[in-house]
This record gives sequence, structure tokens and C-alpha cells, in this order.
Amino acid sequence: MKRLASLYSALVLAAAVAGGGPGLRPQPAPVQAAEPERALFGAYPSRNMVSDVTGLPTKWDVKTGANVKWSQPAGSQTYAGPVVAGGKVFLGTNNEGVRNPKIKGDKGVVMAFRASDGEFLWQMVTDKLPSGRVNDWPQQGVCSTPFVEGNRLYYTSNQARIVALDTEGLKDGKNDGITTEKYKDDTDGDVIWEFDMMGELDVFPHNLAASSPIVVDDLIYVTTGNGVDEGHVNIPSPRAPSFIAINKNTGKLAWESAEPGEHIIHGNWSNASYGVAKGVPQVVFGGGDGWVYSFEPKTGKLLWKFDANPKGSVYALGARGTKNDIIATPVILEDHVYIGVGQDPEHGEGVGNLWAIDATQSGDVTAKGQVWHRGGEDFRRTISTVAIKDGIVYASNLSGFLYALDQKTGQVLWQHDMFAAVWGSPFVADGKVYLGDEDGDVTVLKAGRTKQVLAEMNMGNAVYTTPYAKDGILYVLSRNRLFAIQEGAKGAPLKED
Amino acid sequence: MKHAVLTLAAAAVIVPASLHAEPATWAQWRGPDGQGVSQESGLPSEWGESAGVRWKTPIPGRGHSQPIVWGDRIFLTTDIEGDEVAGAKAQARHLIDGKDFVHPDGVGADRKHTYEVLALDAKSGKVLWERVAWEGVPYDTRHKRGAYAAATPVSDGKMVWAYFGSEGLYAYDFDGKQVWKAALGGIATMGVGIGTSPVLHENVLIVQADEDNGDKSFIVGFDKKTGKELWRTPRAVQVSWATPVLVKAAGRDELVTSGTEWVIAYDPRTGKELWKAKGLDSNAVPSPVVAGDLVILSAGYPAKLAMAIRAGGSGDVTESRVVWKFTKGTAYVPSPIAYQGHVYLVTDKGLLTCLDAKTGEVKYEGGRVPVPATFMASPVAYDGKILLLSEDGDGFLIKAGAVHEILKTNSLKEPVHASPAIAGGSLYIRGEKHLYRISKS
Repeated sequence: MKRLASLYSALVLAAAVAGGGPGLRPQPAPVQAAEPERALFGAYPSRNMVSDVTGLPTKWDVKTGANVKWSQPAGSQTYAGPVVAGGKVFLGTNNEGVRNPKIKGDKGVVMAFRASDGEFLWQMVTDKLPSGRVNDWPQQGVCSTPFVEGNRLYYTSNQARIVALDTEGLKDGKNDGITTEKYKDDTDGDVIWEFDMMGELDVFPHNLAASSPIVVDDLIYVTTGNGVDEGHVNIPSPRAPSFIAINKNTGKLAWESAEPGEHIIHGNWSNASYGVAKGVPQVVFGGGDGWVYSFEPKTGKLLWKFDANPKGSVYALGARGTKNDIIATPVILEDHVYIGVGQDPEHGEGVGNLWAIDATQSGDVTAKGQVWHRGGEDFRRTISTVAIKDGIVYASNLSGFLYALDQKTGQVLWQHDMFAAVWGSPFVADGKVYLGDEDGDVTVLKAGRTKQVLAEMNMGNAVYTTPYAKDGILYVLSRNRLFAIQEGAKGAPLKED
Repeated sequence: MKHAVLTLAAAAVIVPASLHAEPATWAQWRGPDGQGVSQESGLPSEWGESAGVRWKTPIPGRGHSQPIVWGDRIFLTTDIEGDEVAGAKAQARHLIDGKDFVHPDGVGADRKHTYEVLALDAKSGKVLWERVAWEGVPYDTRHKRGAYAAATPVSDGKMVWAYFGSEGLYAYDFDGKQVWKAALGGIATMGVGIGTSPVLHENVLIVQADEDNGDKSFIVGFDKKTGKELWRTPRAVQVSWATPVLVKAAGRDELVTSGTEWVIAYDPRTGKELWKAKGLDSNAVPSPVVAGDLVILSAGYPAKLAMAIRAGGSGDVTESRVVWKFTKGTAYVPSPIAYQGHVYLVTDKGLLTCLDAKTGEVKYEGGRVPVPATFMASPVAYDGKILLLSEDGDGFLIKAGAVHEILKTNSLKEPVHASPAIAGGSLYIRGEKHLYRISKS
């Protein structure tokens, strides 16, 4: 019933926009530069964790402020962002930072800061779901890294909605799009439209919907978070989609896929990437069933799929379990897809698998699409996305190991032990590899075929995120603080919390 | 005359050695002095399901409390889960910023539970007696990964005391007769259960009872023989799970408690505060350890910290007696261990950091166990080795000292969540379903 209603209204809106609807004038296309400025989790559109920004610092000290341009508190738990575009830095966190004393209690929050000096601009605050922890876990905030394109920001809220925001927030004095936001001070966010995955598609997000969107042409691609119930046995909505495409202008569903269906192991927390392999455009998702899926971007037609769990893998709690789902983001580069498997970090460490897959074939390519593989004892569970540069794949895992692998063969060139859990991804830019860990250390190594550790700095708190670079500045986000790091900057010393 | 000579000769020969020896004991949480260190020699370094197991006794129910040993007696606690009770739910109410908080991982307060104290014979592994200490619907939930029978009992060789948080404190004699019991009232612990074990000092049995936001936290001392309350001191700290530790300094005994807001030392005889220092800021779960007159405290969540405070001070010693700090390598759950001049911090994944106990100087970091693993048990040490027991049942023996070396991995087929006891040449390992006695073959 709900779906029919939304399809109907999509048709009406489409007609209206095309100029055929009663009383509605066609809207002019938004005036934009040839290619709008974009920011997202990873490079665009491959999700490769690299950047061509140069002049980045190698060393800094948050205690003394050396090379720290500015820093700002976030909430108490921060897993999303940072991303930088249009002179603004965005992150997802919870409401423990209490930016607005009028808004108290547990919420999902997207914060926006001015990149030049760190000034706090606005925050988009979302209440927690009434169904509670089963769909919207306490204190986790917003875990979806926003996708920014021009004056639009897209993210998945903790209410399992795909939300489009105006990057100016309500600070510009204009409430664009819908005007039914709950919080409407000038430091609050400005919602353009929302798509409710639970209401519209019967999605049952397990613990949290957290997909970091990617937008290509007019479509936003996300995983829905559809998963098991609290008992971790049943899937309440096996026919609800795991993967969807939403029109970025209308906020309406373009296509959906429930391929993982009843085989979802836990949740659906991976993201989509986009690329063209041998002339075939494809959008690739990591599935909650441990399979990688590639679709025709405009239609959602399945192109190929790959089982990322070797035959005989068994799902069991504890380190002995060998079957995993996919939480990392696939990277599609040079006709290959690179992806590692893992589990919710709460399940602990365990054996994993890292794959290079041939993206030019079709159907079930599990047997014939494998280009190389590291697994079992040679690789552990991971939620990190790879960074590929100059023929080297940099891959980290939950146990804290960082590998530099030959891109063609998967052979280990060198490895580094971070001595602590790694949830984020290695970030390669300016000839360096940056990686944060749960101890709060960020290690900087020389990018290349021989290992060289350049520096190790402690940020004062766990770093679960991946750094972002823009205009010579490295943005590093710890559990509760955002830092803008720049060579030569001299910031205020960080007081002990 | 002949008779007298015979008697003398008999007397010289017959007296058995055991009458003059102290019984082997591991009589409280982490054994002697609460440090997890055994001075015994001849302990096993190799075992498996079919090697070195003297006996293996099924233990009913669920418990993560450490077994204790006094000579031929072993005591442990367990919780046997019963049927759901219609309409039952946690009585405890938790408030954060004035709003009701229900812990997302809390389970158990919707059904009946039976808390038991068991006594086993150390020689045969047979259960000698099983006593129901309490039965009913618990005051609050426990963490789904935890257990209601989490506090380790303590014994003085004549009596044994078992603590079950809001469900009370129970004293038994060695024959299983209940001597006294005491109710401490409902102690809300954010719905995740308790962790702290009672501590004995001379005639005083002491319980650290920290609660939710700290408005009602206290520490209490009972007369061990009668259960009469001797003293009670309020504490300005939020809920904690660590067990306090005794240390000798400045010519007296101090009982040092870990805490989020404050680390506080008390006179164990009177409950009077001796000194305090700014706390760990994070959840006080691991128990403190002692190296000389330094007390080393640690926490791992939400932020990591280990710090060493010189005992023997007075008043607020934050600026004067905190000797070193270290902000990595600590665990959310397992406690560190101080052994032969070093402090070993261990993470929840078994990574060891070895520090000089006096200075906090790093000897090594990132000492790994050879396989992915998760740990709830705290380390113990004996014979130049550190033993880590994983939730998969693996026991990793690591060479003590400034260089990390895995000596052996010994595997049992069941998960291990409890810390082991060491006594009488044996390791007592409590698995999910059995208590094992492991000795040299």
C-alpha cells in the first residue's frame, strides 16, 4: 500500500517538473559550475581512499598545538566524516557535545564547521527512533558520512531516512525544501527532502542504518541497513531491499534490490561505489550476506555477484567463526573490485578475507572472477576500505595490521602493526599513508614498496574515522574532536578533558 | 625402658609433613594480596582436554566469578536461570540527564534466578555441598555478556563469604551452614550487573558498592563473623566494577578503590578516607595492582588510561603523588598484572604492553597472542610466565620480562570467562560448563 502511494506521487511530481502538471511551472535547472565540488567517504566515484591534495603535514602535536590550525569538539562518539566541500567541514556524531543547550538528550547529529577557522555553523539534529535500540542504538549518533555536492548534502539519518540538506543550513535565513523540520533555530539544519526507508520500504535496520551515500548523475545509492531482529535469528523483512537508488532531486525511489534477502547475516552496513569496467558502468555494493553485488546504475539490473566467503565458511560467534559479512566499502578501480569482509567489531577479532575481483564478467563470478585473495591466517576481519596508489593496495584490519600489497598479485610488500584495533581506513595522499587506531594513535608512513614509518602522533582519544585532505589541510576526527592540521600552523594547546 | 625407647623412635618417624605445612590457598579475587601472582613452583605449563586434566566437574548454571581455594576446599558461585515470570522487569531505575535509561544490552530481570554457593573437594572434584543463597527476580538486569554470579567469594579458612550485589551478602561455614546474611539494598549498576568482589582485612569484610550516578555510592565494612555493620562511608563516584586492593604504605594498611571521578584510599579498619586523587574519567572496571608502594589503576572505555599513585599520602594527592600515566594499551574488562618489576597492561584482545612498574617506561608494546581472540579473564602469573585465558578456551603462556615471547598455547574445548585460581600445584580453570583442575602430568 505504502509503495503504491509513493509511486503515484513520484509520477505526479515527475509530471509537474516536466511542465505537464496543472498549475506548476517547470523549475529552472539549478545554476552550477560545470562540475560541482564534491566530498564523500573516499575518492569520487571509486571510493578509493586516496587524494591528490599535496603539502600535507607529516608531524603534529595536539598537546602543544604544533601544526594544529584549529580544533573543535564533536559529540562523545564520532564515526562519520570528516568531509570538506564549499569551505565547510561536515561530520556525524551524537548530541553529547550539546551544541545547542535547548536540545538535550540522545540524538543523531550532523555538524557543519567553517573550514577556514573551525567556526561552528549549524547542526542537523534528529530524534531517536521510538522503537529504540533494535533499530537506533543509543549514543551512536549519525554514522553515515555525508555526500556533498554543490549546495546539497545527502546522508542516512539514525531514523533510517535518506536526507537531503541545504549545505547553508538555516543560517542563510531561508528554509528551503520542506519546512516541517522539528528544530528551526538559525543554528539548525535545513532539510530539502527525506526518504523514509522504514515507512516506505519496510526496511528493518538492525541497530542502525548508517550507509554513506554516493551520488552519480541523478541517483543516490545506499545500503538500507536491513537486517536481523534483536534475537539475531530472524529477518523481519526479508523482502525489503538491502540496496536502493533514490532520485536526488525528488527524493523518490528509482530502484531497489533485495538480493541478500533471507541470507542477511546481521545487518547491512556497507556502501556503494561506482565505476566503469570495460565500458560497462556499474554500481557495486557490499552485502549483508557476505556477497558483493554489481548493478546497472540506472536500472538496478544485476550484472554480477561474488561470494566473498570461501566455501566451507561457518558463521559462529567468537574468534572461531570463519564466515563474515561486508562492512567495508568496495573500491572499483581499473576493472577490478577490491573488498575485505568482517563483522561488527563487538564480535571481536577473527579470520577474514580480502579480495581482488574481476569486474568485467557477469552472473555469479565467485569461481571465475577471483583475481587474488588473502585470507584465513593471512588476513583478519576488517571494516576498512582499501587505498590503492601506484600499484600498491594498502589494507588494514580490525586486529590492527596494515598491509601494503602488490595490486596485481596481492603479495605482501610490507606490513605494520598498529598495536590497537583499526576501524577506519588507510588514507594515501602526498606520498604518505595515514592510519588512525583505537588507541588514538595516527601513524604516518611513506607510501611505497618499502616500509618506512615517518611519525606517530596521539590524538588524545580513539580515532575510528579516516582522515580527509583539502587545500593542504589534513582533517583528523577522533572520538570526540575534529582537528584541522596544517604544516606551519600554531594552535592552542589541548587541555586535558 | 624398652617401651620408652620404642615410643620415642615411633614419635621421631611418624609425624606427617602436612601437619606442619600451611594449606595451599587462593582465597579471594586474584589470590594472595589480590595480585594474581602465585609463588608456587611445579605448576603445569602444558595441558589440553586429554592432558593434565586431573578432573573436570560440571558446574550448573552460569557464573564468571573466580573459584577460590583453601587447602582441599574449592568454593565458587553460580546463577541458575529459571522460567520467565509474567510481568517481571527490573525494579532499578536509571537516570541519565534526568531521563530514564534502559541499557540496550541488559537481560535477565524478566525471570527467576537461583544464586548458589558450591563447595568442591579439591582432590576428587566432587561437589561436597550446594547451597541456595537467594532466589527470585533480580533487582536489575545484567549485561548479556556478563553473569549474575560475577563477584568472587573470599575465605579465611573457616568461613566463606559470597556477594551478589543487590541480592545480598552471604556467609557460610566450611560445612555449608549459613552463618549470617546481609542486604545492602538495591544497588543500581546501569543495568549491566556487578563486578566487584568483597575483600577481607583482619576481621572486617569490605564491599565497594558504587551506584549509577553516584548519589548513593558507598563502601561498607562488616564484622566477618557476625555480619554486623562496622562502618559505612559514602563515595562521590559513579558506578564501578573494580575490586579494591590492600597496600602497605606509611606504616599502615590502605584499601585503595578505583573510580571514575576519584581514586580513594581508606583505612580498612574504620572506613575513614586516607587520601584521594583525580580518577580515571573512564569506567572503573579493571582492579588496581600494587608494585611496592605504587598502586596502579587502569581503565579502557571510553578512553584508555593507566596511572600509578604512590600510596601513603594524605588528602588530595593528585598533584603530588601521581608518579606516571600511560594512555594506551588498557582493556575495558581485564585487569593488568604487576610481576617481577613490570606492569603488564592487557587489552580485551590480548595485546600486552610491558612497562617498568616504577617509572611507566615502555619495555614493549603490542605483544600479541598468535590468533585472533577476545579476553574477559584477567591475567595471572607464575614461574616466570603470564597466563592469558581467552573466551575460546585457549590458555596462552607468555614469558615474563622485557621481551614478549609466546611459550605455549594450551587449549580447552570450552569458552573461559572467569579468571583462574592457582593452588596446590594446580590451575583451576572455570570454563562455561566445567571447572577443571589442571596439574603437571
